[in-house]
Amino acid sequence: MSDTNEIPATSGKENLFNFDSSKGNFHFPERHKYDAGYGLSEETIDYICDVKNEPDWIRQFRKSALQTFESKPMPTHWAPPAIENIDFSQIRYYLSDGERPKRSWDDVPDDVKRTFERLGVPEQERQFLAGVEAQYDSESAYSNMKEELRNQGVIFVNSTQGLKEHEEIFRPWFGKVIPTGDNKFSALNSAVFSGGSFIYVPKGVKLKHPLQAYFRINSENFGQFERTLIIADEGAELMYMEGCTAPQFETSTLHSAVVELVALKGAKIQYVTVQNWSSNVFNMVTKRGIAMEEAEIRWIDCNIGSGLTMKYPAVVLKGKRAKGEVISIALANTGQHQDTGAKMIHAADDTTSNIVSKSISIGEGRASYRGEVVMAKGVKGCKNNTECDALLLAANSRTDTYPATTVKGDKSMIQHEASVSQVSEEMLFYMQQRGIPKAAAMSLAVNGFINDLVQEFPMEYSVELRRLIDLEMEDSIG
Amino acid sequence: MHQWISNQKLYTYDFNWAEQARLSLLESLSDIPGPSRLDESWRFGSPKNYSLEGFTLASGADDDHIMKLAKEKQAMQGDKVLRVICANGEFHYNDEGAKDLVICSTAQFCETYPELAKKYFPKAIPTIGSDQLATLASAIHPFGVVIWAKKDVSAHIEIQHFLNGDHIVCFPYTLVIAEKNSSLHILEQHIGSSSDVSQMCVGIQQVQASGGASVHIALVQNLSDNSRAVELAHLSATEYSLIEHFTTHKGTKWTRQETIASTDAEEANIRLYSANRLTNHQQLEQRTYQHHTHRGTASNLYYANVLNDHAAAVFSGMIRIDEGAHDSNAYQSNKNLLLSPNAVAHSLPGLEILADRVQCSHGTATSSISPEEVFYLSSRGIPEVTAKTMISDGVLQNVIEQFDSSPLKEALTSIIL
Repeated sequence: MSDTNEIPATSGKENLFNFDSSKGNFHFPERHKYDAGYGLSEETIDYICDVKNEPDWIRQFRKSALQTFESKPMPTHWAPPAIENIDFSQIRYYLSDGERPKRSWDDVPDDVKRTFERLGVPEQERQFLAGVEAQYDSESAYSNMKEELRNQGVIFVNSTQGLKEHEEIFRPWFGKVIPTGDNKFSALNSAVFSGGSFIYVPKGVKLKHPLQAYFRINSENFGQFERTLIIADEGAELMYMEGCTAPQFETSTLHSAVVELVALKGAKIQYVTVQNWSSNVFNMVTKRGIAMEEAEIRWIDCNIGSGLTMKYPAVVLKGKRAKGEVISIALANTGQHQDTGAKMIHAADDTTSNIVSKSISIGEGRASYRGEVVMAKGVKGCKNNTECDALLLAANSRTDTYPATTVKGDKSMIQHEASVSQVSEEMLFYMQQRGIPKAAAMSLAVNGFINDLVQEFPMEYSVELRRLIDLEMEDSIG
Repeated sequence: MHQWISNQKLYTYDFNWAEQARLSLLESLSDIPGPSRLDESWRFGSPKNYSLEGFTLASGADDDHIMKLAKEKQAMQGDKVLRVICANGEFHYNDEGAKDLVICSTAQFCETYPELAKKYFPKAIPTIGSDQLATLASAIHPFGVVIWAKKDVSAHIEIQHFLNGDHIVCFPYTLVIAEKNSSLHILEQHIGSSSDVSQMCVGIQQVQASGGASVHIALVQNLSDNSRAVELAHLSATEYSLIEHFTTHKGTKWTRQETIASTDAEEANIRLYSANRLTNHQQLEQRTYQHHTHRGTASNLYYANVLNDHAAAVFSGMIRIDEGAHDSNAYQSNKNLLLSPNAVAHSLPGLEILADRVQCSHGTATSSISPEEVFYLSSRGIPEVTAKTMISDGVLQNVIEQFDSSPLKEALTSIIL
């Protein structure tokens, strides 16, 4: 972090772990070669297609998605009312500096490199990570893939490259797990997507190291609409990690991604997200995986920051004995609403799913769990377990739970439990009596609350996650 | 709705203040939309059953027939049980209440105690998606039962509301006011007079308990299999009072139950129970709202269903702890036992917590009878069919056991099991 002096730090507060709390709270001057301007129309789509030199089928796909987007109403009958504050005409739908994805770290522009260094993607991490596909605004600014992976036939490119260069693999699954018309935001993404990853892991290939992408929003009023498609062929295994931090802006920014996972027979996919958007970001993400026979999909999700997050990772258990899991941590501070949850569709016999969700509300923050578990008619031997725990750290914090479960037939079972608690005065007193300051005691209690879930995250993420949580708690307690 | 109303012969109040209010309620109906599938409060529900088309407002009933039926359907035993009988909304008979216990029709109540009556009539109770019917009920039908227990009174009461006739709609209404330290055990039955008719019942229960009072009230809905029912309840408990509310729905092809339980003062306590055995194509929709508005309040919900054949159940419960209602405890549990490959159970338990130092939890479990349980009983010489019945009875029995009223427990056991 040799260049950090050049970047204005907004806060130099001390904290428990002595790390730079201003991390992530900055942005660089914009220098975009391509800009589709504000608002969305057919011209915007033509502009995107022209700039990206996309094939005609994608142009058609985008245009029909635009119609779907325009015809679909906002889901105001159930969604948080804040969703109505999104002004689609005040968003820039495509920005790019027009440079091709870089293959070498040295080719990455210095200012972009600095961003990643501050985000914690230092060069030495490349030694550990199998490949880094770091997104800077819409397009990949940096891309690196280990030679051995390529030799194994693993494809790890951005979605534009995926649809152009690997159409035969990409096209059959693109938009199949999450159809354009699934919801208003998936339609929006289908119309204007740019960036995101395309990954294909061939039969039987088990990746030892996680694939990783860091990305961030760096332009005011700029919505990021990345589109990720991951296909794990029969018996393949992979872990994909994404982390987001966003600089602070004065006006709202929309992030509306679509992530589709396909786990073919016996495949395993783990998708890990640590998200830390700034409070003016609307984060509307549709994530869904389809698990075939004996396949396994795990979503491991941590949501911190953003004004409103609506994210409900889903698994469609389509093959016998498939497994689905969602592990999620949400932290809502003042001015933030984390509306997160999970969805499990059991469409084959002997499928099992597990949902564990923990949320923490700080200050006037609001954390909601919204979930749906369905056991379709005629399936047997299916099991689901759902646990939601909420921790309230202040008198005016809020937490909600809105689960829905449906069982059709007498051969399956669902159980759901939720609880709400506070950090008890006795616990804090006990620690304070032993010389631990109140803020640190609170931090320990909160870390204890989420500890079993944090352990599910890969090592470097769990460290970052604890730091982010402590950072969020800094102004609220003590 | 307006078209339907214009074809009915409506009752009127004899008192100007009530009649004026009734007419304004009738007018306000045009501003209240009916339910739609997109309403969150009707998720998984069937709003099409909400319509009154094809039903005529019930009136008059054969006295002898009703009195005979009433005797047959008595569920609470013992000499000290006070009995109230209504048919098609009209008062037929009531035992005299003891000193300081008023049991009368709403019309009598309005006439004798106008100041207290103005608090309740004619007003629509709050609902969870059925505002239209609640308003209609108050606007077209001023008849029903009022039970007013003054300080320290204790009583056991059985109310029987009969629906008599084919293609009729009836609005049975019960208001219970329990004052300081009173204790009431009330069984209310909604009974169809015949098994081969199609009827619609829009029942309303309003319970107000104050200052250390305890009200144990059970609703048994027993209409024909071809009928429909909307059962609405608004329970309000104030300081140190307890309301226990039990429902069981035996008949109908479609029932919607909406219960709002509001703890409106410190240390108020409400408990909600329901046990149902659903068969054939029965559909049961239950919506509940446990509303904590004050500090130190408690609520507990336990709803269980056993579903057979093509039966379907929807449970949607919300625990809401308002800002400032600190130190409250709220629990909610919904269990569904599915006995057929075609049975369906939807469960939507919800929490909205805006206060501090609260203890809240909810749990739902939907499953079938495990083979291990059946094996355990079979290995002790119990035939499989009997074993399954014992297990499903156990699920419902478990709910009844928790109801803290021995006279009602006995009656409910004989009705449900």
